Amino acid sequence: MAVGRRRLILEVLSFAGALALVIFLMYRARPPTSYEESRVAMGTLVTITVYGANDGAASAAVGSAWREIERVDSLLTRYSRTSEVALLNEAGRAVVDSATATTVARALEIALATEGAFDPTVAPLMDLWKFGEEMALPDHAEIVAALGSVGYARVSADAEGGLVDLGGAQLDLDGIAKGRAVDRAVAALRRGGVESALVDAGGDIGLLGEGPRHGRWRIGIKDPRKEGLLGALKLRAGSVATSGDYQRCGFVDGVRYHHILNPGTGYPARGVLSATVVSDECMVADALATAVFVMGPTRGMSFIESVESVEGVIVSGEEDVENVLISTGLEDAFDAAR
Amino acid sequence: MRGAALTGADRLVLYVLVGLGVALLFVPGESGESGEVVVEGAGGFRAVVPLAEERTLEVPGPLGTTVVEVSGGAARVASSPCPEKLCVRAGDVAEAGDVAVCVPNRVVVRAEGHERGEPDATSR
Repeated sequence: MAVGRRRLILEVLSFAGALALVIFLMYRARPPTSYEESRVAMGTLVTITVYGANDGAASAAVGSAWREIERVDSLLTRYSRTSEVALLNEAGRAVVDSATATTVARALEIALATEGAFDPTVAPLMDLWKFGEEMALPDHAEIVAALGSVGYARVSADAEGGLVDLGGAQLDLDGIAKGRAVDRAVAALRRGGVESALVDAGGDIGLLGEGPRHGRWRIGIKDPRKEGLLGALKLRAGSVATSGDYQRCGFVDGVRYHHILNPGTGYPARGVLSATVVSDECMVADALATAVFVMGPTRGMSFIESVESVEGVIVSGEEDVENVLISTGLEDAFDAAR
Repeated sequence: MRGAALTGADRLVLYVLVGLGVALLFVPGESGESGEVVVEGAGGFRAVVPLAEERTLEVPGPLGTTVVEVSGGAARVASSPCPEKLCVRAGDVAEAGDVAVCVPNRVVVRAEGHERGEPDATSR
């Protein structure tokens, strides 16, 4: 009888232990708690997702991140007459906020590195093109005239002193500003003690710390021609940005015209449907996504492969998807959609 | 005929299976499996609509009313007073991460949910 009771107790304990183990393993396998906030800023929807406890410190860090985003927005947008870039475009030469000067200086560095495929002085061209449902093509002579004032080499920027001289050019920092805002927001979250977070400014994505999937993040890449995803990247860190011909575009006589202009011709770049770049800095990913798009699939992928810590996915084609090029460093990280 | 007695290993497997079954009872279902769309507009307008429903929402904004349709398992901006209609052209919002934004009229339509295998964010 005593033996039977001892055996029963052992069995109950064994059962309880097994149950506790299974619950523990399932609990660990679940993604951590998260909370997110979204606002319209930088001309798009910006979402900050923080993983971990929603305590006062994390909340303060998120508030600080929003202030950084709003500050970058107020400095760099060309569409507010009171932004620093708008005032600089009017004055032609001015001492500006160090954040603006630094962004201009970095934009010029990237323009030089990409031999002008990314050019922050395309403002006169962008002004000519009006994309939308009922778009009309700008006059070719106007494009040729506008090209006369495009050229990053005209501009000089002293990141330390803050003096920016446009040399007759006009700045359009839309190709880098969202990335800059994401970087500043991620930095603010890090300073605020947040260990794991994601900042998404309309598809320009910055990652902080370990992701919710066993330390990794899963970042989708939009299919440029269909609803849904082309695939997804499994990343441990970094930033991701995509330039696609499906954003801000219109059709004239069945031909697609989009907002990623070739600074050399003044017309939309051809041969690429979307270019996704992964880099340590979102500002770099943002600008290089545009540059690689303009370069075209072959030169674009060669450029990606030539730069350390930069990876990418290029979807080539004229109107339909023809090929998907994946850089060497992403081959194992890319999951194609079924 | 007499069956063989359960060994210690048999019992362990049995306990793990029973434990797994009991544990599953406590695991809540994924909230996004049925899919929801969140629609936000001016003046604090916010609506959460299951994608399985059929609804038409009139969302206020500074330029006027944006009409959002929910039907066939997806939401979409049916009409908007904005000049470029980029939100209308954004098409269907169906899977978690899909979004249609009207910046001029301050309207956001986004699908929510976090099913296994879905991305944490989408670069577009």
